[in-house]
Amino acid sequence: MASLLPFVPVSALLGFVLLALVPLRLRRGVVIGVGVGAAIVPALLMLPVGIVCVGGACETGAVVTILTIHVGQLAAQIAMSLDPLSVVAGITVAVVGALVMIYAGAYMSEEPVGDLRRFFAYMNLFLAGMLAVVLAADVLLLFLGWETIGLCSFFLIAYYTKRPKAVAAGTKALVTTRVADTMLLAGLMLLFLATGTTRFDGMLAGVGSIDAWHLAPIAGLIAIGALGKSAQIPFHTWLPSAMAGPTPVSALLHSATMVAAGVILLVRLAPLFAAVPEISACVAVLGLATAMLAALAALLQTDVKKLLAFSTMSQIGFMVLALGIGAPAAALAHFAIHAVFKSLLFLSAGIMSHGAHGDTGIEALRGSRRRQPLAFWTFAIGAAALAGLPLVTAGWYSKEAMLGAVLSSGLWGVPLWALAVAAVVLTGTYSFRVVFVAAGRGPDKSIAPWEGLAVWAPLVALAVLAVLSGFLVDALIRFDGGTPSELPWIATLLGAAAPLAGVALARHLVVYPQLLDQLRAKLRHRKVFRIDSLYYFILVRGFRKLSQVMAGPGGEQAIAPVLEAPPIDVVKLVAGDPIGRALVASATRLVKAVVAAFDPDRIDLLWMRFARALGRAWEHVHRIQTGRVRDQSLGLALGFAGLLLFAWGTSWR
Amino acid sequence: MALIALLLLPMFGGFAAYFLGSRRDADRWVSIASLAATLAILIVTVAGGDDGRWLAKVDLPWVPSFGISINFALDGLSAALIGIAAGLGIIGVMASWHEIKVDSGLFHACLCWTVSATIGVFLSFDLLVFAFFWEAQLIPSFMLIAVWGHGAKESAALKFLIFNAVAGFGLLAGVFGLASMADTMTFNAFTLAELKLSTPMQVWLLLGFSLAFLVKLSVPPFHAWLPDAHTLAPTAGSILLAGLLLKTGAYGLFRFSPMLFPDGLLVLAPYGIALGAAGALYGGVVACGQTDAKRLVAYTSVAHMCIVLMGVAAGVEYALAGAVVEMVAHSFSASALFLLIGALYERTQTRDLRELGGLQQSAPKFAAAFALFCSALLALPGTANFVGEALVVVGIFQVNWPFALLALSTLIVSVVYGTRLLKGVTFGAASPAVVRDLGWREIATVLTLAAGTIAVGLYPQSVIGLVGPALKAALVPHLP
Repeated sequence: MASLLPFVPVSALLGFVLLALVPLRLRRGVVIGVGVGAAIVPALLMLPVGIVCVGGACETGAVVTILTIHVGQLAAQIAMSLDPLSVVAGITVAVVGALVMIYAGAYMSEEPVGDLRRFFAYMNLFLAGMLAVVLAADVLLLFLGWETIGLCSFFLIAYYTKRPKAVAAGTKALVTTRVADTMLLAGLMLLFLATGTTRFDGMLAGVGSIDAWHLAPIAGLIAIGALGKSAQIPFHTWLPSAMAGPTPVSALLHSATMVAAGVILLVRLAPLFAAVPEISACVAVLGLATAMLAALAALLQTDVKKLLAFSTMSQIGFMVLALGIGAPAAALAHFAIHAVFKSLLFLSAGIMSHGAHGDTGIEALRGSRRRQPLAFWTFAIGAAALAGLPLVTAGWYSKEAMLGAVLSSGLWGVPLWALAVAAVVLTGTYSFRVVFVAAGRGPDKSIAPWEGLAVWAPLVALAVLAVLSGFLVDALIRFDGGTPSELPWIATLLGAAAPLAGVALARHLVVYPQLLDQLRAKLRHRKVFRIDSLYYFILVRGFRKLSQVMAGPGGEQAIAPVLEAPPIDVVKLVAGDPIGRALVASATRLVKAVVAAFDPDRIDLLWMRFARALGRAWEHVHRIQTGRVRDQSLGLALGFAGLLLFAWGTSWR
Repeated sequence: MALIALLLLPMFGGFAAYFLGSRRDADRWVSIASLAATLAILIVTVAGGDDGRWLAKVDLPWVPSFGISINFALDGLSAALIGIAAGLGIIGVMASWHEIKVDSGLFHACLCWTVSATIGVFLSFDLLVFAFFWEAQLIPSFMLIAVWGHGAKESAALKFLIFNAVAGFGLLAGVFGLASMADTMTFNAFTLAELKLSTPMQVWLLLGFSLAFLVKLSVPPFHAWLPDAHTLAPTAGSILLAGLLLKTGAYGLFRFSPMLFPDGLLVLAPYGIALGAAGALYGGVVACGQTDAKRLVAYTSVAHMCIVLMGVAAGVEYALAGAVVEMVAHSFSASALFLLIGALYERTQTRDLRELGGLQQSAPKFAAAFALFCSALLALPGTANFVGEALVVVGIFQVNWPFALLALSTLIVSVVYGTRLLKGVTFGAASPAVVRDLGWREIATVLTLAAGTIAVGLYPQSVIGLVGPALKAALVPHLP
């Protein structure tokens, strides 16, 4: 049954090939049918594999080799493995992917056929890449999938190719994750050179024999790669802008799959990180910081999609925190639960904003409860799971598992736990703020609501899962090789009270909306940390300037719209911030000083100057060639005299 | 004899094309026929070759008194490159079906002669004959640029010729210098490789050889000829320049520097890696600032060839395998991009990224092809380009990790220029509004190149296995 594994991503890949490469005109129905069908097959294949796995095949960790490549002594294998991680993550990705694609078939059906074909082609390729990432038993297949989803996310975020903002957001996502991916590649290469194999099992077995000085940079580089893909601080800036893509893209890429790839990688390599506690501690701190600050940022958003984007960052921050303190099983359980409720939130938010004439502002959703009751209630269920309302939602169980692991992780467990609980309060606040606003009385906008099984069935299925899968969490953790933690009752009580306190706070904020405005005014920068604008000013503009200057004057205007314009007036923002100002100024000066030397391809200019000098020399030399007899005889005489002198000199010694 | 046929078939094909002229496309068909026959003979020779290092060998005395002989040998490396040469020749003919109207007979003759001379370079092991073919390939390619190019074609062609001819003297001086060390008069590389030269002498001779190789490879600061020549050449000219001529530089480095000057290479290799790393970043950054699509691709060639240089200089197995795969990958992807941009120029009369756009709407097949090859350009795993770069970097990690990190950072730059080209051509509002989509001839060539890129990318064994023995011979001794 394990031999079924390679066919899981292949069926999605087949959908891509059919849609992208067959040079035939396809009708709209065929495009949707192929696109959605190719995405459903992986889910159907994954389920029997999962049953076999639960039946005991997983313990041996069967590995299916697909391809072997010989380079010298090395035999690099491309393989897939059947183990708890790949089965849990594989089923999650396949099922959520299938449901989102069914929804997408209805959501996107109004698009022109050519664009629709492109959309489904890239969605299928993306799904294939993500399945390759979760099923991979070796780094080659993992990195293949890893980069494929990166590139697909570029194409899908920039799906509306005529909107400069969408294109810029896609580029931003691709370039940012590529920077992190490069670090990951370096780390994987070093790990490969140190262990001499490309298979994960061999690599992890060889970790013990690497000394700490080599292991730390390897783990650090791999961690950066994972955090970059997972949009953790300081690589998070691409995720909020990525919401420029269509809603199904956000629901699949930026909730359940692509950003979760970093988590999958960290779980896969958990023994490596267990061997380097310093790096793990850094990972945990970054995860916690992201969980808290992204929750705060989500609270300040006015756009529901951006709010959900920040909430994804925050939730993945929780998972990264759990991974950092060494609880991969709890993190994996939360990954599965989060995938369910976050895609549910995106999909129902998409329907609610459709009812608001496509406006994704939170205020525009006011009155959704009357307009689209089913979408509203499924959103509310998703929000409850996100907030982690005790006992009734799945989110509570998986969150408790992670918090418990944090609390019992040693000396620093208590403060880390306290901060994480604070983030849980914020989570409850921001998620229920949307619910309360949407439940409020709003203007009656008459728009034809969406009907049909394809729209509702995924929502209902996901909502049921978001409630019921809570009972699976303990089993899931045991299945992944962890032990559900026993908490002191006071901690359980506080963990249960936190989301409720958050909901109460949300109610308060909705009743007194000016409080939120005051908070916004106080925090002023809505983009967390200004990192976004600092990146833009230092890195993007610096690089742009460098390439323009080095390429010569022609490049000046062309490159201008390459990346997003600064999101806020940075001059105003940095004013009164001497450190920030000094940073920007010194970086600008540095870049200017460096590039001044390269004014248009300077090397080329040097060569041309050399050529002109030769020409001038020739001007001088050709004056000798006068053609007059007396000049020529003078030359003859001088030359002869020179030769005589030379002969005399050599014979003289 | 098969090796002689490999050399002569395209040459006679060129003569036939010249004399038949363009009536009923006779010159095109005869060029394709001769190149296809070359390819067929190559395949038969490779398939029938024994498993040892050499698949076929020829050794005929030519000027025995001076020790000059026709000494041809074919191994996996030369076979791969000759296959690319003949294949790209055919693709070049198909790409210029509508572009070339004037003197089409002579054009196809020049194209075939370029291929023929390049095949001579890949086959020769008599250094004087090697140097002869090295110079000989300049003349037909000079003609291709100077006669059928665009814009300031004469000056671009002249720049190309001067740079390469002057650098050729380095090779010639090195060859004569090396031959003068032997007791008997010979230019046979196998015999000369047996000489035990002192390390300083090896360094000086290698510097002479490298001058020619590095200029042909267009490693900064010797790259200045390349952007002009590539941009202003006709499409077929750009394809041959990028796909073949650059590869001769890489081939020379790969073949002769470890064979003739192992100790000298050991001294110079770190500088080679450094030069390659700096050049790859330089080429990449300059590519990011280009507004001319073809010029952008030309500068990416600079960057990719620098990666090849790094791979050869690193001299470990992974890096050498990576260098070969990168050569093959670059031949496919750069040729395909030149072909696409050339086809676009035919339809829109512009290559300016600021004016182009919207192929996604106006010509979806065009846009899909661009998407694929831009992905190759930015080294997406699954394409041959990624395999090449990753293997080179793994090899450099074994030798010198700071340079490996530098080499990796080119991956970040590549994503910037890759998306820049892609966005400039396919995204945004359609401009011009109507563009004729790819025709069947273009689809066939693009699909061939795409199949090659992906096949090598997913199964690099196909190339690495073929060049295995040649690769063993190019290992730099004494390295970890």
